[in-house]
This record gives sequence, structure tokens and C-alpha cells, in this order.
Amino acid sequence: MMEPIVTISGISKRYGNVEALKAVSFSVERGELFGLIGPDGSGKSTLFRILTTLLLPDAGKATVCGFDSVDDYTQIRRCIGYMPGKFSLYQDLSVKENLDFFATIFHTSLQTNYDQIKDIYRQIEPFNNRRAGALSGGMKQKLALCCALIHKPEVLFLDEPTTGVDPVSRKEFWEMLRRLKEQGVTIIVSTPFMDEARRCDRIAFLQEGEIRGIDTPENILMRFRSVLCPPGLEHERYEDKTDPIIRVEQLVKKFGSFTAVDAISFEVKKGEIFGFLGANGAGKTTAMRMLTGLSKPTSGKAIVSGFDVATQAEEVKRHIGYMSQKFSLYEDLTVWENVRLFAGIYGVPKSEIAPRTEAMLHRIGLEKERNTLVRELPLGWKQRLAFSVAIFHEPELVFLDEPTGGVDPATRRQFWELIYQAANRGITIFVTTHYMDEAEYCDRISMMVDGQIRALDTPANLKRQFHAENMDEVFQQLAETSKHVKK
Amino acid sequence: MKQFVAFIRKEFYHILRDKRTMLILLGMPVVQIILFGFAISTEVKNVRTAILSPSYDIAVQQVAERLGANEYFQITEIVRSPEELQDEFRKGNIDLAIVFPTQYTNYSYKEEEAIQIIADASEPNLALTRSNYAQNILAQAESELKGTAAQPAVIPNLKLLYNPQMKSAYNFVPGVMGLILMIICAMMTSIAIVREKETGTMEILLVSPVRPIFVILSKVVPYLVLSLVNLATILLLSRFVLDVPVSGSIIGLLFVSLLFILVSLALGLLISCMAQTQAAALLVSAMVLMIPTILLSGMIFNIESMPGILQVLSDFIPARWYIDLVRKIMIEGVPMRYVWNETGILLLMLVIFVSISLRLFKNRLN
Amino acid sequence: MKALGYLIEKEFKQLMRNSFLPRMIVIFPCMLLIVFPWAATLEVEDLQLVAVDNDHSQTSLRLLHQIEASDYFRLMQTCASYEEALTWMERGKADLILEIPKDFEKDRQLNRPTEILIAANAVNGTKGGLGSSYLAQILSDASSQTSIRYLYNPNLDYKHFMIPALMTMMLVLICGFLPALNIVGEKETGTIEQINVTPVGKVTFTLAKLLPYWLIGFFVLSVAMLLAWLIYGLIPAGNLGTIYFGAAIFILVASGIGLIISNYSATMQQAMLVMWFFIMVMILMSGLLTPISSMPDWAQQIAAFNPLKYFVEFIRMVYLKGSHLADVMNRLCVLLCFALVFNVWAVVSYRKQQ
Repeated sequence: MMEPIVTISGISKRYGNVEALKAVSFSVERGELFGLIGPDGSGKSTLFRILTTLLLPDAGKATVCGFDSVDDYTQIRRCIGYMPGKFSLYQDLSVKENLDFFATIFHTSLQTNYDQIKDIYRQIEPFNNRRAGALSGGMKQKLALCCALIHKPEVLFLDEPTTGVDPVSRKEFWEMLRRLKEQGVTIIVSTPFMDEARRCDRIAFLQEGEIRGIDTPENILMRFRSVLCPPGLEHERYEDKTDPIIRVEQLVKKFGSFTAVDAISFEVKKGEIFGFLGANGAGKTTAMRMLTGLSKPTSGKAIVSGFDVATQAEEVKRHIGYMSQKFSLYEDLTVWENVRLFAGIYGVPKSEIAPRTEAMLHRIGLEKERNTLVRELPLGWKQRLAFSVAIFHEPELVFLDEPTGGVDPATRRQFWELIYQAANRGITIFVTTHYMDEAEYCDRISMMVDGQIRALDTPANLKRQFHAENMDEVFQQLAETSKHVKK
Repeated sequence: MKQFVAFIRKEFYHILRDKRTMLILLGMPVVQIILFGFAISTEVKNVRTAILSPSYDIAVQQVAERLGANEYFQITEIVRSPEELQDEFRKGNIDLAIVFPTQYTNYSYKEEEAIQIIADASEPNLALTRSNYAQNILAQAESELKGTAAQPAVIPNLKLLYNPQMKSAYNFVPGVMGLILMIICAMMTSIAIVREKETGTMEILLVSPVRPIFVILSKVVPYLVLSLVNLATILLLSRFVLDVPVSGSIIGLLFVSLLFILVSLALGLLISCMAQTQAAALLVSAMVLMIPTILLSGMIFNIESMPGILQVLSDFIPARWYIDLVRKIMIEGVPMRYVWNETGILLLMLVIFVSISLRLFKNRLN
Repeated sequence: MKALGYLIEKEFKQLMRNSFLPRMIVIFPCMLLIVFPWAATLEVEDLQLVAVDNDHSQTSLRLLHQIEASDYFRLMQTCASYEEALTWMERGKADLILEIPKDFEKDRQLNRPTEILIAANAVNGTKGGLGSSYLAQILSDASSQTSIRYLYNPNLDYKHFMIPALMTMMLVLICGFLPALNIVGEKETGTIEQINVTPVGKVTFTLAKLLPYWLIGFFVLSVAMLLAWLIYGLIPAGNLGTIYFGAAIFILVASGIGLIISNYSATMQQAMLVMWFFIMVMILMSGLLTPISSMPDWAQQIAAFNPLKYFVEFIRMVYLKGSHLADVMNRLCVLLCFALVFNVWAVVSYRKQQ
């Protein structure tokens, strides 16, 4: 048997009082596609950093390509590739310049390895001269993938590479990984998506800094199904859906000559959970920003809660809640202080703030964290808190922009339970997501492609219409119609 | 080598893309030179003077006219009572007042009642110079009036060396050079490096096959170029716009400038090794570099007039030695053999800063 | 408007939780007042003098003693020739050269006019100019009967001149700089987006950012005045109420400038650099360090558009000369206009909607 290419024995790491990794040991064979899954804060990123020689372990030993991670770090750095969780591009460099730069520092060039990345690169190639900072969130992630995959190292470390990426591109990305694997590249990847985990040869389930199990994906997903594959949610569909709370007619937003939102029209009924789906760069976020009054429409009309977003933006804001993709509570305030601040901003009477806060914290299970700084909470908790803050003033309508990015299935399920509770109280939910299982939870779904709405119906009807088994297939079929995918 | 070039190209993109920062970095020396060269001066002129004389008669008038004829003084007011005078001072309408004794024309006043000059000394230096000027003019005017030939006292023959027209530019150009090079090299470099740490790109760069030290060096090169451009701008502007000649050896001047640039870059590197966030790097640069450089380098304020402890502190400020060097080489034209001392100190600082930052430089995250 | 209270509460909590700012707010004014006046002095003393005595007489010696006795000069060396003295200057060991001619004593006794050479290193204009006129004054210690009285600052203490100016700088930095950085910081972290979708109006938001810094500004000003009294024995000659009133108006101006810059900047680095540039130009053109009256006319006209100029004048007049409110009213009116223009501009340029 061949020598394993990565071996880890008894690695521990602590930050102050927090034990990030507790005596972790495993090894990865040459040519393997190895997955790391686990909740947020389970120590995945720390493990990646130790393996890529960026951090020194407190105890234990790790070898990569036969070199020790502490003593021979220069040799290791020569033979590995790495994409950090927070991959950051140079915002002021153009797409092409970013790619060229990363290609050069990894001793290769865009021409040499064009084939390797072409599937994803083709989608961003039309924007070659645009600055990375001007790309949408998902497009940035795709560019980052291209930058990380441009070279062909012996071992490739990818820390949650597909967070915020639409299902179509995720599939293409995994195709690229498969091809790299065929060429003998060893890949270690972490992911919050279970469909991705299934495509690995073996996965390790990491929780609270300890390895709970290493096995084939099927076995692991079976063993830990309560966390990784929670049962679907049941939800009584809300019946009284006559009054539209959002009415959009021929809404257009242009940035210069580029049309981000191309004359969309739809209605959202009171009390409904409305899923707003689309590939990265299809114009979802732009449309949502117009509906929340953050951005002025170029033309067309949108009435939200009875007010025109173009002329009565301030009135609209009084009647809605909003939770953005870029997480935005104040990190340096405590849980309680954040709630109090936003309650005060929305004019919740002073006497009601305290009892309602207690009830809310109790509901989301954060009553013990009342005086914790938000910065110290795990991501899943932050998301629940942010959602609860967004609906604290009992708005008629709440906008959620990719509210569950980067967390494990069990945490996402808890989040959706909160959404259902809110919907049962009569709050209309307008949500964007890249998780197709979440799309199934919605009452109705719209699909945006190239700035237009191509489909709008209940999940069941859509599946029937497209002869698909699940929403994922519907999404794939619709995304094919985009002009950027056409060959 | 190819990697290194790619890095440097990338850094130039960063700098060139941020138009506003570019504009300020390149425009700052121009604005400062113009301000210091033309606008800022301590010369005495337009002294608003009031005359207080109980009887504004012919003798008083003659003396006053004599004063008013001088280019520095403007008689703006003639007042009758001390209260009025007080009022004008408080309103900020006059800078100086000449008080004549009651019996001035008849010379029947007593010695101790002679003409009195009252100066608004809230600005002490100006007050001193203004009143000295006035005193001289009054003495001449008086002696003419009295007809007695002036006592042939000692006549000081004033010779202002190196800067005969007393241009403040001569004093400020070296200071501006020191300050600007310090800002660009130390502050901008440290921020540029820390920014990569903050955005997370440093992680990838460290993991890449490129040696970390080259990553850092490539960040330094564009700022080196930028500061050379600024150095050239300042020298050209001061030569052709301010008429401040380079009287010493230009090679020597360039040599010490390069040395100082290197010291500043090393300082920037040192800051970037210690700071984790851009805000911290900014504040450290401002607190540790900018304020002491402005205050203690002798660019505006005289080091000799400071208390001992501050003088000792100023010895640790690289800009102080550089400004000294520029003053000597560029303006006074002192031969290089007299400036080895200062050059040596800068060299020593360079060695110290570079070795500390190399020691602190981390190949990993912490 | 009800939200204002909550927003201000939030600002204070964030401020107190910051590890650096509260300390800076206390230490900065102390440092500035304790160190700055000693360093930022344009007073000239301890000038290094090299003498060339060609006469070697009683009279020439007496003259040298007389010079040495003054606070301003330190006699470094008596050289044999002017050339030798010049090398002292070149090596930076002399600021002034005094050459006494050969027959100095004889001339004095015969009451003949004598010429004494004073050569000054005028690279530093202040030093050269002031130094040589001090020296000239001692030499001609003339029979002049005119007496000089220095009002408001009889000891010609430069520190007294600088202290009110330092207070101005503190107010600019704390009430202009800090809120600007704070707002750009919220832009960078994205929390401003969350505020923008709430019904909070832009005036409320802006006010919530400013009010805490105004309070801090007043606090710092009070600390500074206290320190000025304790360390330098300087008490405001004018009315305290007038000072606070003027400061209140000036704080509005400073924060207006900060807000405008923060609205136009995307990153902290940009905001900081732009701010720094403008503040530097404004300080240089304000008469804080060098007199406005010495500037050429065109520069004086530009300085007329510099709000700092009016406040520096105001605070010096009230602090040192004891001017009354009526004396400084016109300056305050100009400041008020600046405050109005800047703040209206700031509110208009703040965009909640793109």
C-alpha cells in the first residue's frame, strides 16, 4: 500500500480558552477526494490552516507530501494549493488581472490551464475587464474558484468553496474537482452541502474539535442523520391568499448599459412564503434591494405594503423587516443591546421591549447568551438572532437574502422552523436561497434567469411542469436557458 | 523572478486604480511646496498701528507720518483715550499702538514719560519684531525732529547667510521632503501590507510557492518609485518655482534621500509586522511617525528651544537627521565630509529597523 | 426622532467597548497639552554664537560678556578669523557669527561710528531673523528712550500663544476626524445597509453619530482648559461661556466637514488620507502657526474661506485678550454660516437610496 499523502496525528489547537481541535488524527491517501463536514465552529478552518502550514499546532504532528508541517513548511508550500474560507480577491483588479496574478504566483499561466477552469470561467469571461469589486457575491465566489483551481498542485485544500454559489455552478465545480482527481490530485474539501459530501470518497465528520467518524459518505450520513439529514419540515399551507402585499409591474434596473433586472412583474400574497430563486448574477439581490427601498428603480412600479418603493421608500421601510446576506448585526454589541437598538429604531414602546426580548430569546434558545457579544456567537446562532431581530417589530413582510449560507443542515432546519412560526403569525416571508431543499419549503417560487422571471408557481406545480423529481432539476433546466450558459 | 514582476505589477494596479489616493499622494508635495513657498511666512508686514496722542499736533504728526511711510506699518487709527485703545486691541483691529506723552511738542515731558510702544503680544514673536522695528524708526524720527545728530552708536552690519532674502522656503523645503517621504514610505506601505492581512489574501500569498519575503519586497517597490517621483517633484519645484538652488552635491543629496526612503520603508515594514488591522496601522503611523516627525524633527520648530528631554527624544526621529542633512547639503552647500555623522546615524537606524522587522516577520498567521 | 435616543445609546456602548478610543480620548488631549507647547515653540533661545574678536580690548570683551549674559545666546567659541567661524557654521555648530572690528575700542572712545558684522544662518528664517535682531538690539542698546509694553502676554511666552490653538486642533480631530472614520467603518462592515432599510431618517442617523462626539469635544475642551491652568497657569481672560458658545459653533463646522468626507469615501484609508490632507492645509492656512497677516494677498483671500482661521482668531482673542462676545460676534457669524453650509451639504450628500 502507498504511503498516505497527508497524515495527522494527535493535532490540538486552542485559542485562549477555546479548544478548537482536540487530538485529531486521520490520514488521506494519494489521489483521494476527502470531505470534511461539521457545524460552524467545529474546527474545520483551523485544521486547514494547520495543514497549509499557516498555523502551528499546540500538540501533535502533521505531514503533507512527506514533509513535516512545522519544520519543512517551505517544501509543503511548493506542492499544495489552498482556497481559504474567506477567499478574498483583489477588489480593485479586473477579473482577468486577478486570474493572471494568481496563475503567475503559482508558476503557471491562464493559457496553460484554461481547460481546467473553462466550465466556470466561461460564465465570468464576458466580464473579464470588470473590477472584481463590482461583481455580485456569487460571481466573486466563482472567480475565486477559478483562481484557486488555476494551478495543479499535488494536494488541494478547499475550505467551503461553494458557499453562496448557485446549484448549477456547484455541479460544474464538482465536475472540475472530479477531473483533477482523475489527474491524480489529492483534494481535501469542506462543505455544508450534503449532496456535495456524497461525491467524496470518504468524509470525516468534525464536531466541537473532535472527529466523530471517518467513513464513506453513505455510512457517515446514516450514522449522523439527525444532524446531517434531518427529516423535512411539515408546514400547513396558509390559505387566505387573496390580498397581494407586493405588487411588481415591469420593474427595471439598469447600471449603465447593463440591465440587471429586466421588466419583472409578479405578486406576493399576504401570509405566503415566497421563494426568490436564481443563479448568481441573475439579478435577485438587485430586485430585492429595490423592493426594500435601498435602490431606486430605473422604471416600472413596485408597491410594497401599499406604498410605492420609488416615491415612498421611507414608508415602505416602516412596514418591513430585512436580513441581509452580508451579516449585519453590530458585532461589538451584546445580543440584548442589538435587540434593544433595533426595537427602538422601529418604535417599539419602551415598556414592551424588555418582556418581548425575553420571550424572543427564550424562543430561539439564546436566553443564556443575553450578554454575549454578537461577534462571539456561532454563525447559526447569529442567523437566528438576526432573523428574530428583523421581525421583532412584527412587520407585515420580511425580506431574507440568503439567510442560511454556510451552516449545516440541522442548523438550517432550526432556522426554517423559525420562519414557519413567523409565517403562522401571518408575516409574509420573501426569501432567496441556493439550497434546493429550502426551495421546497416555500409556498410559491419564482425563478430568475438573466434579469427576468422565467417561472413562478408552487414547487409541486413546477416539478410537474418540468417533469422533474426535485427542485434541483427544475433549477438546472431553467438555468440552461441563460445566455451565459449557452455554448 | 516572473512572480516578483507579477507582484509588482499588481501593486501598481492597486495604486493607480485608487484615483483619489493617487491624486493626494502626488498632489500633496505640490500643494505643500506652494503653501510653504508662497503663502506661509513670518515676515513682518501690514502692522496695523494706532496712535494715542492727547494732542495730535505737528510733532506727533511728523513722527506718525514717518512711521506710516514705512512699508511695514499702516496707521489705521488715531485715538484719544486709553480706553478706546484697549477696545481696539480687544476687537483685534490693531496690532501695535504708539502712545505719545502729553507735552510732546514742547519737549517739556519728563524722561520717563517718553514715547511708549504697546504691542499685542498674544503672538510673542511678531510682537517682539514689530516693536523692535517701530522702536528703530521712532528713534530715527525723533532724533531728526530734535535736530540733534544721532549719537553714532554701534552700527550693526547684518549679513544673512545662505538665505539672504529670508525666504521661508529655504527652511521648509527640507521639512516638506522629510514629511512626504515619511508618509508615503512608512504609512502607505504599512497600510498596504496590513490590508492584505485584513482581507485574507495574505493567507493565499503565504501558502503560494513565492517566498514570503518577496511578497513583502514587492509591496515596497511601488512606494519606492512613488517616493522617488515625489522627490523629483519637490526638487524641481523648489529649484524652478521657489528658486531654491541645490548648492551642494546633488549626488550626495540623492544618496541621503535614498537612505532616508529606505529607513522609512523599513519603519513601514516594522509597523505592518506589528499591526493586525488597517485602523491600527493608521493610528500607529499617525501617533508614532507623523506627529513626532512634525513636532520634533525641526521642520517647523527649533529643536534647540525645546526642553532637554524632548531634544533627546528628537534624536530618535529619523526625519530629524534627514532634514538636517538636506538643509546642509542642499541649502548651505556643506561638503559631504562634514555630514558623515548624520549619514552614519541614518545608516545605523536602517540596520536596526530592518533587523527588527525581519525578526518579527512571520511566515505564518498567529 | 424617538430612535435617536437608542442610536446614541448604541454609539456610546460601542465607543466604550472599543479598546482604544476611550483611552485615546483621555490621553490625547493630555499629551497634546503636556508635550506640544514645549515642542511647538517658535521662541528663539540658546542661539549658538561664534565670535571673532579682532580687537581683543576691554570694550570688546565687555560686549561679549553682555551678550553672553542674555538668555538668547550661548557663546560657543572665539575664533581667530571669519573663515574659521564659517566652518563652525557649516558644521552646524553656530547659528550666528559676530565679528568685532580691529579698532573697536578706539572708535568707541573717540565716539566714531563703528560697524560690527553680524552674520546669521538664515536657512531657518525665524531663527536667523529673530536672532540677528536680538543681537542688533543688544549692540545698539541705544540711547533710545522709547519704552515697549507687551500687552496680554508680558513675558512673551510662546506657550500661551499655542495653547488656544492646540484646543482648536483637538476639536477638529475629535469632532471632525473620529465621526468620519466611524461612519466609513460602518460602511465597510455593512451595518449601514441594515440601518438604511429601517425607517431611521438621515438627519437622525447623522445626529446620532455626531452628538456623542460633541459631548466628548466639550469634555476634552474642559480637560484642556484645566490642564492649561494647572501646568501653564493660563486662565482664560475672557468669559468661559463665550468660549463654550464659540466652541459649540465650531464643533458643528468640524463635524460637518468630517461628514462630507465620510459620505464621499468608501474605505477608511481613503477617508483618513483625504481628511488628513484637508486638515493639514487648513491648519497651515489658519494662522495657527504662522500669522495670516504675513501672507501674500492671494493667500489671505484663500484663508478667508478657511473656517479654522476664524476660530483660531476667536479663541485667541477670548482666551488671551479677554474679548467680549460683542467683539468676536462677526467671527462667530462667519463660523455659523460655515456650519450651516457644511451640514446642509452633508445631509444632502448622504444617500439612503442608490
